[in-house]
Amino acid sequence: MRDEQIEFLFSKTIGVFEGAFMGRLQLSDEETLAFEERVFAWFDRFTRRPGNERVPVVRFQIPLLSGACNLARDLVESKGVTSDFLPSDPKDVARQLGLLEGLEPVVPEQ
Amino acid sequence: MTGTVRHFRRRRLSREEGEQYAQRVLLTPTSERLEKAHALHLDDPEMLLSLLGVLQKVCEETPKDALEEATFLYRYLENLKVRYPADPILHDEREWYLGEAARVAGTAARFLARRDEAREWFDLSEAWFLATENSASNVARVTYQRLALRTEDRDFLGVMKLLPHLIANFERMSMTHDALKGRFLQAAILKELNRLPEAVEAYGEVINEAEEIKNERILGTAYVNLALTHCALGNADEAATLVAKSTPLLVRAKNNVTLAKLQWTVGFLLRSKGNFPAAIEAYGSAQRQFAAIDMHADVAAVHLVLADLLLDAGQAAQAEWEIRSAFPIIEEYKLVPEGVAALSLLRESVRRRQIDRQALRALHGYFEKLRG
Repeated sequence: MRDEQIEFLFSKTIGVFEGAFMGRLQLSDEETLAFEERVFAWFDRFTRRPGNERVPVVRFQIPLLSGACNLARDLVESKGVTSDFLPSDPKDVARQLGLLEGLEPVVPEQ
Repeated sequence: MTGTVRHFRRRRLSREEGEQYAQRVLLTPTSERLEKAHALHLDDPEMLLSLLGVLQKVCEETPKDALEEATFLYRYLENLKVRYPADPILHDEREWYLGEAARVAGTAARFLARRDEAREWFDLSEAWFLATENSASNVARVTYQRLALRTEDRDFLGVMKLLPHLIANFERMSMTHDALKGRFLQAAILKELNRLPEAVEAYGEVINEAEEIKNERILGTAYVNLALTHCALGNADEAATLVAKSTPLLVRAKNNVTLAKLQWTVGFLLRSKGNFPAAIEAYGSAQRQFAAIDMHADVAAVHLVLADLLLDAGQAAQAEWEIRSAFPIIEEYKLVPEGVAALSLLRESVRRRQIDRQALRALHGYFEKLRG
C-alpha cells in the first residue's frame, strides 16, 4: 500500500518537475530515464529513513521536488551546463510549480 | 501533471537481507573493515540504511557496542568522498547518514551516562541534519534526545516547558511515534516530580496510544515505568500485573536496558511486600544485568539501594561494602553533581563506620530520579 503511494506521489510530482525544467536540462531520452531512476532511488530510500517511515507519503512532495532539483543540478553541472534556473530553496521550487500558495514577505537583512 | 502511475525498478534490500548484511559488517573486526569496505558494501546507501536501523536496536541491547559501531561508521562516512554520477550515494544521503550515526552514538553515550560525550554527538548530529531534506523532522529527533539527556541531568522544569512545543511539532509533521515518545518523557518527569497520580494518568494515556499504534517498544517500557510508579504509591498488585505484561515484550525486542530496569522494579516490589531476601536477589540480578551492558551509573545506583535494604535487614557490614563499591564508579563517571553534599556526608559516615542513612537515601534518591 505504502509502495503504491510512493509511486503515485513520485509520478505526479516528477511530471510537474519535468514539465517546468526538463526542457532546459538538455537531456537525451536515455539520460532522462537514468535521471528519473536516480531520483526515484533517492526518494524511495528517503521515505524509509527512521522518522520518515511511518509519516504519510503525501507529506513528502516538497522534499521530493527539492531532491529532484538538487540531483538535476548535479547532473547538469557534470555536463558543464549552467544550473542557475533551478531554484535552491524547496519552497521556491514548490511556488514556481504552483504547488504552494502565496509568497512570504521578504524581510531585508539587518 | 501526469495521470499515469509509473513504475520504477526498486533496488531495495528486504528487511531480512538488510539485517543479514548489517550483521556481516558488525561481525567483521573494525581493524579489517576499511580494507573490506567494498566487499561489505559499506559504501552502498541501502546497506547504510539497514546498518543504521540495526545500530538503533543494538543501542537497547548493548549500548557500549552501539557507541563503538556508530563511532566507527561516523569516522568512515566522514572520510567518504562521494562522486557524482559514479557513486550510488545521492544528494543529501551522506549528510543524513552522518547525522543519524551521530544521533545513535549520542543516544548510546546517554544510556552509558557519558553525558558530555552524548552532548557532543548531538551537536554533530544536528549540524549534519541541518543540511538534509526535511531537516526539521531530523533535528526534532535530536531535540528529543537532548531533552531526555536534560531529564537525566534533572532539569525537570526546563524540559517540561519545552516538551509541549516538541510534541506539537512532531504532531504537525505527522510523526506520531516520536510525539508519543515526547509524552512518555512528560510522564517520566511527572513521576520524578513526585506528582504520582498525574504520572499514573499520563502513563495510562501513553500505554493506550502505544497499543493503538502498535509500538511495542514504547509499550514495554511504559509498563515498567508505570509499575515503578504504582510501587511508589503502594499499589503492589497493579505493579505486579504490569511487570508480567512487560516481560514478553521486552524479551522479544531484546531490550536489555529496560529488562535490567524491570529487575530493579521487581526488587522494589518485593521490598514493598517486606520480602527482603527475594528483593536483595532481584536487585542483585538487576545489577548483574546493568554490569553486563556497561551501564555503570545504574550499577552504582543499585549498590546504594541494596545498602539501604541491607541496613533494613540488619546487615550493616554488607551494606558498608555495597556503599564502598559505589564510590569509585560515582567518581569515575562524575555522577550526581547535585548530590555532592550527600556524597561527602555518606563518605564520612562510612569512614566512621556509622552509615548516615539520610545521606544514603538522599544519594540513591538522586540516582532513582536519574533513571526515569
